[in-house]
Amino acid sequence: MRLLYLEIKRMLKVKRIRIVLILAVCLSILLAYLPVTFESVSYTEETGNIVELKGIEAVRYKKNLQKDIAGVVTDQKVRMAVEECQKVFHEYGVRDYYELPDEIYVKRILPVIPLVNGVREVFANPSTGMAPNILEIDVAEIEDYYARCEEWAASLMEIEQKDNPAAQDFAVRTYHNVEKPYQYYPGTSRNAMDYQILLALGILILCTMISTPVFSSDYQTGAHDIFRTTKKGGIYYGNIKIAAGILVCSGVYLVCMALYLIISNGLFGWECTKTSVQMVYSIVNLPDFNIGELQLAVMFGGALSVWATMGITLYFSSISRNTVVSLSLGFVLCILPLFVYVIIPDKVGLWMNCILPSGGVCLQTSYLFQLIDFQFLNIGGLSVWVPYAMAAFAIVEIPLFLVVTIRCYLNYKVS
Amino acid sequence: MELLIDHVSKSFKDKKAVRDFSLNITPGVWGLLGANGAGKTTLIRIITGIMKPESGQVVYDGIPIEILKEKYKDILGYLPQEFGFPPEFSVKDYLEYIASLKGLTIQDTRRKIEELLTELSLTDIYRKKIAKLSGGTKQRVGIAQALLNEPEILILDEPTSGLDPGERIRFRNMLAKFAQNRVVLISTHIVSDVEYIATENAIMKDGKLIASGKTEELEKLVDGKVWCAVISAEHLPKYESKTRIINMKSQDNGNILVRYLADEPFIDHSEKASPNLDDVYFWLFPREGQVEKI
Repeated sequence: MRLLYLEIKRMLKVKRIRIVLILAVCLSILLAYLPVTFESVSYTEETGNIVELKGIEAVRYKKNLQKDIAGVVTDQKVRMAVEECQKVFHEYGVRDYYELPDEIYVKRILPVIPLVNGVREVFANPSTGMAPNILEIDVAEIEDYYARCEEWAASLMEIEQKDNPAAQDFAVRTYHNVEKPYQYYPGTSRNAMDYQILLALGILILCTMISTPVFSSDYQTGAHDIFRTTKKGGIYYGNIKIAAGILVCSGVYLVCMALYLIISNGLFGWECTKTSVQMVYSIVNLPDFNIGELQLAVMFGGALSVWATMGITLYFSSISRNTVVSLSLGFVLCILPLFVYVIIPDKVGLWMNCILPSGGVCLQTSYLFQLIDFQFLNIGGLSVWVPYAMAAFAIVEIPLFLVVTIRCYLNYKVS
Repeated sequence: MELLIDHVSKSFKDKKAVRDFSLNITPGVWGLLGANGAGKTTLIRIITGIMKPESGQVVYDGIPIEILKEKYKDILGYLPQEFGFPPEFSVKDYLEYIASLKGLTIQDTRRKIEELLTELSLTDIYRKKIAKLSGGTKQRVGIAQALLNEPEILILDEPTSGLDPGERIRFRNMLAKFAQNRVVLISTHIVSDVEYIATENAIMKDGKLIASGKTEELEKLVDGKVWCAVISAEHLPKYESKTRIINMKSQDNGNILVRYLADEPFIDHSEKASPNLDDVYFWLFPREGQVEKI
């Protein structure tokens, strides 16, 4: 353990790593705060003055507007929200929100809009998936809103996974187990969720800067020649170096994520974490999570990705005498899923991004987007929901790459 | 205590770096002499276990080092040709780190580090970064790390490179003191590094062992072949091209005292000189020899 302590101490003494740590903390704070700055609302006072609110003031104003809908999303609340929208649309002779005057939208639609968003989706055409206009919805049918949600989940899966009954069956069963009625608390921000993934990717890249020199810097400086001739310089030392690298990177990742969530949830309000995922994304999303649980799932799923990526970057480090080479390979690995997502579409791209260790934090391919999506890896009659597949691949990759790393370290041939 | 290098060979691509090398190393200071590229560093790496030989083995007290593994490393101290260290380390950090790698307890680490710092005059720079030290001081830190575990086998590859003449002498004295009941193997192409402290020498050429033995025994190889003569400065180019001049010394009257190697005296009024290890080296490596001007 003393050697582990000394190795971590050594890592933390490296100027580059100290800079990376500072950057990671700054990035966490910056990205946690940025989504607040995107919030804005404007309304007209009784005097006729137009008031424009931005940032935290806008968040507070919207939360105040929507305070009446906070809590359990009952059929009745949804029905009343739809009725209110339809009433406003009739009053102003419009068919969509953007046709309404701003002050009317803010005063009458904004207070109920979070409840209405999912309704159009639930009443979509089961064969085409096209959502109806809000005016076309028969409010009487909202009486059994959650039963309609389950029907829609089945229809959606028929559209999304037409040839994969196993996937359809899994999705329907999983959705059936989602806790209902949903909960909604005003202030919940999708941007904040997106930025959590952006932070995870940023931290992964910074962690790559920490982990890639773990072995290769000693090869490069020649220090390795001496270390290898010491009593504990073999497999024990290799394990210690890996453990130190992973501990430091995990520490950075978890601390930064925790910092992000504390700041972000502090700004938007901790009560928002109780909002059901389905109230923010698709009304029939499969995870039985509230936003707080989704944040944790994204964080721990991201941790799997970070560890799996560390496994490969440590492997690069164990075979490369040049830190620049291992660092470059590490960077490419971090952003590779983005290119795969764009260049290689469909099934092959999906498989590749599940296998690539950094896929779990790489924006569009990340756990967040996969958890709120309905994609499956299908092989034969077997269908595996993508978030599960990504986690499974990562769990296999972590020990696999660490074992390969140790072998490469032990077999590294000095020049 | 005995370290046996048993028919060791190693090649890189098409170059044979070490060819069927055998040597029985017993306690004492051993000089491993050879020109640059003779295969000394490769041999040293094989002896330290960093590199595996293609054929042959290294055996310590009857057991191959691959079988001994950690036990062998526990009694080994090694300073490579280029002393590499993590640039972020201070002397203190580095020695503590190596001590931990060598499996020393915290108490032993403190005691041994204190002892070595005093012995190697490193106390004042204990907290300085190694990267900021002079070449000689860095090399002393390198020696300190090699000695931390009080090794029975100490292997030093070109240990005096980067040292100034004063540091070289201090280094030699320190080694002579340390070598009691231990195997100390010093690889070098600088004969004077080992001439006065090595009890035994092994001379390597093109990966092969071409001579080995005590210094006096090796000197016998050139007994009667070392000559001294005084020549005038204008004749120097003529003699330089026709004989192997080892060193020369200018005299006050403009003449030059030359020391040269030849089977028979080549210059008039030559006098026989008693041989030293330098002469042996130049005799065995005629093209590597360079005239040392004093």
